[in-house]
Amino acid sequence: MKNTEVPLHKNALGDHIIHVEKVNKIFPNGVHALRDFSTNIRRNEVLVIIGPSGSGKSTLLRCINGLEQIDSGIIIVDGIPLDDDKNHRLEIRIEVGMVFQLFNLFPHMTVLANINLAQKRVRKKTTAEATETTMDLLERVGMVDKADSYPGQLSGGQQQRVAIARALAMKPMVMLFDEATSALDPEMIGEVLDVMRNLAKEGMTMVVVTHEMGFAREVSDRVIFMEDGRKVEEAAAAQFFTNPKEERTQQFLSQIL
Amino acid sequence: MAEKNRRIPLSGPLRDVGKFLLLIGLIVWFLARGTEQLGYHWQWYRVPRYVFSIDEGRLILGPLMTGLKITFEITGISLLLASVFGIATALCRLSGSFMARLLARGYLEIIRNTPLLVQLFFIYFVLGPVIGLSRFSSAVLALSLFEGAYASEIFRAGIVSIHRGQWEAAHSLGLSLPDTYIHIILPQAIRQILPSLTGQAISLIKDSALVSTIAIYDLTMRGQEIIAETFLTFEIWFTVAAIYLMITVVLSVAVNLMENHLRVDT
Ligand SMILES: Nc1ncnc2c1ncn2[C@@H]1O[C@H](COP(=O)(O)OP(=O)(O)OP(=O)(O)O)[C@@H](O)[C@H]1O
Ligand SMILES: [Mg+2]
Repeated sequence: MKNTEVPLHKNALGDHIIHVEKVNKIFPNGVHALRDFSTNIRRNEVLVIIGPSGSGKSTLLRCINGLEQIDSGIIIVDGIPLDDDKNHRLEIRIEVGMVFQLFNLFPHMTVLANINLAQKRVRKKTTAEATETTMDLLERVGMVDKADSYPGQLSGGQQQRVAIARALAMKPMVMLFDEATSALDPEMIGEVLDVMRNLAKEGMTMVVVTHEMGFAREVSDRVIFMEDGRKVEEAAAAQFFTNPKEERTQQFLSQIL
Repeated sequence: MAEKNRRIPLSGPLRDVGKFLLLIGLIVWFLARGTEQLGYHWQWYRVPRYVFSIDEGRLILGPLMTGLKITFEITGISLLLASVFGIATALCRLSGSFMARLLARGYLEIIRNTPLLVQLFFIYFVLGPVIGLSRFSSAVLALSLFEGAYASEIFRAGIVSIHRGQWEAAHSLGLSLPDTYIHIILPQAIRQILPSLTGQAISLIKDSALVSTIAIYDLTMRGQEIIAETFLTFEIWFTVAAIYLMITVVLSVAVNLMENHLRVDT
């Protein structure tokens, strides 16, 4: 009589924008970088991932946007499964923005051209439309006056702010940050964290790998501590930092704080 | 890198050209002494008319210049085609497809392990009649296949030298593979390999002299023809060599200037 049917995947996902289930990643050299890793990322959430070097933090981010192929498990981004379907993979890498430790700006293009390129080629915008978006974004990251500079003429902090603007220009649903401030001189870390902080405030869904514990504490909603490719502890930020359950987490935090 | 940037753009190539001219001068002087002993009778005054002459106030190109025009046409078209072959082969070798890699590999091995002269004869005498290639097309095809094989190795080296992060940034922005190559990888790769590519272009110009063997009236062939008529052996060969030299030197200086212009700070 009544239609009680609920679309199954919607139900399972709820308001989760990224669903990671029992993911395993083994590199050709035999390194088991992710072991049965599962987590869910909610819309508008800031998830911070911490863990010692080599624990698989970068690998996790790279698997989520399809830079690495997973060996088993499930990754679903906004209802799109990350499988062998080329269109799915393309959609996911467009919808997921990534910011790298080494910025990876295109050195032969101006800041403007760096940010315009994918808008034009992937989003099929005209130069005028792309430039409008680009200038708005440069305004937000405080780089308007550098639109015509080349990456090599900018400081590390400036380059990273441009890289963030470039990723945002695709209007991604999620932004992944892989140690976005680790390659920066100390005096430039603040300006990049400011940009990230503002993004978090605006409600951007973010997955942040960082060693900046103060920043992590301040912006995160949830924290995952991982080691050896495993999730050791996952908790709401307040609880994680004040009252971690696992002994290993306590150890790690006491070392790093 | 920093040191290179500080260099005054022109001093490098100009100094090279200077040294080079000095060397040429010495060689000419030696040869002049040698030929004197041979009792060779120099008749330089008879040479200019084969380069160009002036008739009733109008400039008339001599046979050497019309030959040079053919040389330019052949090398120009071959240069374009060789770049196309070179890039295509490099992309095949780097592609995920086994067939593409195999094909590229086969092409490279055949070209690099047989003499250009044999390739030229094969294309002109065997392939030409079968698929209907003219003399000129055969020459262009042979030269561009030959230089393309070497250029492809240069392109490949340039492409793999681009940092992995560039690929990853392009990937995460959703750029397609062709877009990534066209807008990101190749522009950076080509800047890096410009010196090697110039070397290859210079080889092409020099190798183009071989087309005279299938009776194409290029610069070399014209030279031979004039010598057969006039017995001005030394004068004409000197002149022909000097013309090739001028082209290749101008080319390297031009590319060097371009390189300085294109250099990106990273
Ligand atoms: N391309 C690769 N090939 C082989 N092994 C890899 C590759 N990338 C990462 N690894 C290995 O996988 C493990 C996890 O690496 P990953 O880079 O994800 O660690 P991480 O947590 O990001 O460390 P860090 O804090 O140093 O960046 C490490 O042991 C690393 O050596
Ligand atoms: Mg890492």
